[in-house]
Amino acid sequence: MMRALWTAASGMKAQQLNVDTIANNLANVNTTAYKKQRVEFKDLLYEQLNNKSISEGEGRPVNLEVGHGVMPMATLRSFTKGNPEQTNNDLDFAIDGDGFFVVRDMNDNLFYTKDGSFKLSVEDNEARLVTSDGYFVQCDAGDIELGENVKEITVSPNGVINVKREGEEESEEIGQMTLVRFANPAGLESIGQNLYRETIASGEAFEAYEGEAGSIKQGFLEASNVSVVEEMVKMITAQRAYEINSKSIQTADQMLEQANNLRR
Amino acid sequence: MLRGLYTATSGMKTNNRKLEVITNNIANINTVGYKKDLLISESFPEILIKKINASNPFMNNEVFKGVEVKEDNGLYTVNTTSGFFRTKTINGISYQKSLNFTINKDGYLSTYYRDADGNKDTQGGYLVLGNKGPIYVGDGQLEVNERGQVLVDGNVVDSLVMPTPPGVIGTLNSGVTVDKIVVNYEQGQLFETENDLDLGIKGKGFFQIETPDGIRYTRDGSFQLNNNNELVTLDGYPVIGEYGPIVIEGSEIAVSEAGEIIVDGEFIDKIKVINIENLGDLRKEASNFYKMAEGAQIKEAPFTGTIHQGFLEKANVDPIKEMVKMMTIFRNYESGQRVIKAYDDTLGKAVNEVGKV
Repeated sequence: MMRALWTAASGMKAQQLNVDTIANNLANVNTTAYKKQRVEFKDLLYEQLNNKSISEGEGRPVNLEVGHGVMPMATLRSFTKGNPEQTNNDLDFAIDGDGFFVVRDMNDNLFYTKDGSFKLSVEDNEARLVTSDGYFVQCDAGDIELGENVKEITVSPNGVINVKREGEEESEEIGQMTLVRFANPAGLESIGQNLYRETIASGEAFEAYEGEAGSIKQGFLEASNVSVVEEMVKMITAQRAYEINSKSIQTADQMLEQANNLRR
Repeated sequence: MLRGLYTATSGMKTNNRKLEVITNNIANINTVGYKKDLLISESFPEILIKKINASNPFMNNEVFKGVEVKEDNGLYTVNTTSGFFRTKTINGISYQKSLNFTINKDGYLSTYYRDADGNKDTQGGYLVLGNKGPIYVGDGQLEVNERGQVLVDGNVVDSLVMPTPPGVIGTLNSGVTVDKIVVNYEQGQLFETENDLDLGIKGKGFFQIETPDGIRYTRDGSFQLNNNNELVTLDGYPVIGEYGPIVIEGSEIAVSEAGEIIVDGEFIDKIKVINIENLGDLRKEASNFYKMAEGAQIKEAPFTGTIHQGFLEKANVDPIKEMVKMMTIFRNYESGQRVIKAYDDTLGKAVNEVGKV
């Protein structure tokens, strides 16, 4: 009976994490390029009960094993596409494909992001393309340095950056934006601020060939891939699963009470 | 009187076990590829109860009216109103008024179970006893006549019915015990994850996983790549393909319904999904794994189902059914408790009130 209590408790704990994850998905429903998460569960160990009534040599398969509940195994991210939303801002980019932008922080650590809402950082009249947090966006020549007096930036679908300056007719090509792919993006570690870090599970970032990592859309941002309806349904089922586990605990408790009441 | 007390207790104990099994099913309601457990209980052998000091030993003997025999495709059902059929159980000889039996693989008459697919399973059955012990049929033609005699190839070899011994007034059951837990391998619902490395199996079959403890089988197809680009489970154990571990280097991963892995348009390997015929010998292990029972040999069969990329299989637990089972168990437990209390009250009266002046 105590086993049933703990088994059901493990179920409630697992569903709690499930609801936590769903809540986080819903909280990020408007976060640019947010990718939804899902919890995966595995069953806990099984105990072989020795049943004395089954004797050797009778040739009956002994199969009396009782499980001990459930354990959350992993949270997996689903990297399906979000809808591209038009912003008409020249510094907003969406990737139509599996690729990631590469950004660098002050300490030369590389991070990967799908969030292309970039800004200009102007220092000593030199403009550089940065993320909202000030991390430098990378191109084939390192940081994207736009130079002085930038009037217009155009990025072609394959990432070639052209800059037109104040008072100039011709535009100048300054590099190609780096897009990378992962063998297993679901294994990426998310560190907040829409940034991901590569892990053993994700595999190393590899620079994708032209067009393979998808094309860049200037003036668009990728919406999160959270579907509110889907998350609500998942929330309902998680809540009911939590409830039915609590019912298991109640039943076990009441049965214990019955046993206690045997002797008045 | 005490006999009844223990009968009620055995029922309560079995209900307890049942609750533990159901709780585990419910806890795993969101576990990918989980298959629900079902607990099978059986009654202890029916024992004969006798009238003590019966004045006329044949008073209760009914006239033998014969045996009603039904045969359906090698499965026999016999009923009688007088006398008893006997089976040899592990707890002793059991006496019954009706019996289902068939011929087991050694040629003896035996009771049988039905497994999840509805096939008869005599491995866990009991031998049917005649007057001379277990009844052997062998390859002969079996016939049971209406007098309860067993005929093999036309010759009477034994009799199924044991006449009611003098003084016997009937049978008594001494309770219920847990027999075994069987896994229901019914298909779970496939749900879409849109992840290229998630594989769902439709139909019978298992992925094979290489673990340090040997090969494990699983229905959970949520796979990952490790740093050697091998296809592994979430615990990091490699999935077995036709050529060993499956190495995927590339970006476009496509898996066909037969399990062929095509990376960037090139055939890499085929996932070795197998169908296991002796599912009864599979044992659950933690982490969604199954293993073969110790000493059991796997009987492989070709995989006939399909693999669906971007899908995973839900647990086949039905919350409503489990809830109903739980309610039933609770109420049964409650009645067991009532019965024990009633016995206790009567005993209390006998001890404390009888003989009081």
